[in-house]
Amino acid sequence: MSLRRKSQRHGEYTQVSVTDIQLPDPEANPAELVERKLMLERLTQAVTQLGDRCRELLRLKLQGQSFGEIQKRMGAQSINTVYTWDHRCRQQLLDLMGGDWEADNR
Amino acid sequence: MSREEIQRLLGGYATDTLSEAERSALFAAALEDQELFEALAKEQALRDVLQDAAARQQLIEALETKRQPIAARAWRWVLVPAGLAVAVGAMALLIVGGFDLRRAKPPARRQAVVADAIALQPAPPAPPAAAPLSNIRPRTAPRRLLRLPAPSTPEPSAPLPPPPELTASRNSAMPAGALAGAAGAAGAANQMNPAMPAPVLSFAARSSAPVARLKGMPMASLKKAEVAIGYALLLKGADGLYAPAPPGAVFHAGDSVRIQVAPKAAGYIYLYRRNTSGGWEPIATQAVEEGQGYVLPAVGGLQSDAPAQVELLLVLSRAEQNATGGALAANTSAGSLKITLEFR
Repeated sequence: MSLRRKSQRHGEYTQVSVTDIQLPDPEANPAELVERKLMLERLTQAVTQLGDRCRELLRLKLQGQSFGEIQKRMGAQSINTVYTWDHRCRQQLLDLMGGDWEADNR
Repeated sequence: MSREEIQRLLGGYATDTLSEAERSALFAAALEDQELFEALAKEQALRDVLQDAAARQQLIEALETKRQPIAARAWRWVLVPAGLAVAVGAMALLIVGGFDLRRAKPPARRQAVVADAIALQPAPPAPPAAAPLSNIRPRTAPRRLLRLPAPSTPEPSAPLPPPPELTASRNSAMPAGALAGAAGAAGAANQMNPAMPAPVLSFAARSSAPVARLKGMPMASLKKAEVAIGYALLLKGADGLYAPAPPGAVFHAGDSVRIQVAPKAAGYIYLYRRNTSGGWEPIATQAVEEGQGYVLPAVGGLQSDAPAQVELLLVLSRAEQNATGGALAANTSAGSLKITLEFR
């Protein structure tokens, strides 16, 4: 009895081969990479068609600035104004991309 | 923060612009609002792309690129409709031009038909006591002659005559009933009455063009005619007079047919008929003048007692030939016309 416990403790009967363990791949699969690349191309094409305010707003957002900082940079009276601008610009960009970020529905 | 304001935060999720308080408020609202939750889920795809620093930088560079000035953009909006307008205009021009061409063609064809069809010339007033020398019955319908195929390479020595006017009536020039049977005038020349307008040459054929298939006429084919010979088929009616066979007329066994010829040039016309042995048998010989009408044979007619095809050969020679061999030998150099009559 003690011998059995000892072998279990040592893992003699519970060992799993390292080849049987499926490890997650930190890299995206090729299909996803292609989709992202295509989406980025469409996005790049779409942002060039935005208006000046939306372009500036999006540029600041991509640079990592918060809405509060953006409010100051763009001279908005309130943060709600920035929210509204951002909401409209997002909708405009979405329309330029065919109504969906991923699929090309145009 | 109201619900509408929270929904406006959606744009900051993908770009990671939200502060901690804003993100918490957005997630809390999304848990209660299914529509907002789904919208947030859709933003994930954009967020995944923007997580990549290189992609982010690419977008920033695209955004920093100076936009085209308003004037340039406006000009582009002008150019697009202008280009469309030019394309539509060009297409409209092509269509209109095509219609014009189609409209312009028929008159040209009609003119050619007029020029080549019988085209009765205005005849001089007929003397009332003109001697009836031909047995052609006056007709009410205009004569229908046949046209040989147009020349592929026109000869410089033979310009075509201008098409005569179609104003004269055949009946007015030909006294009714004035034509007697040709049998009585067998010895005389079978040249038609000068008072009767001579059949104007209806053929511009001056080439060795291939055989033309003619519709609506009893004859089957024509062969080359280097010298123009116009002809019409005359069918003997119940009254014993020969009249032009109507278009599409069918010859029957026992019918008597004559050929009215109108040579372009003066010379001699020889009419042959293919016999059973395959050779050509001379039927009639006629000295002819340019522009005059003649009927061959002068005596009797071409007949077939049984349904058969009768092959005829008209040879026009400028010089007199031996009818039995000379004209046939000159067949290649003089004008010739092959006619096939089908008796059913």
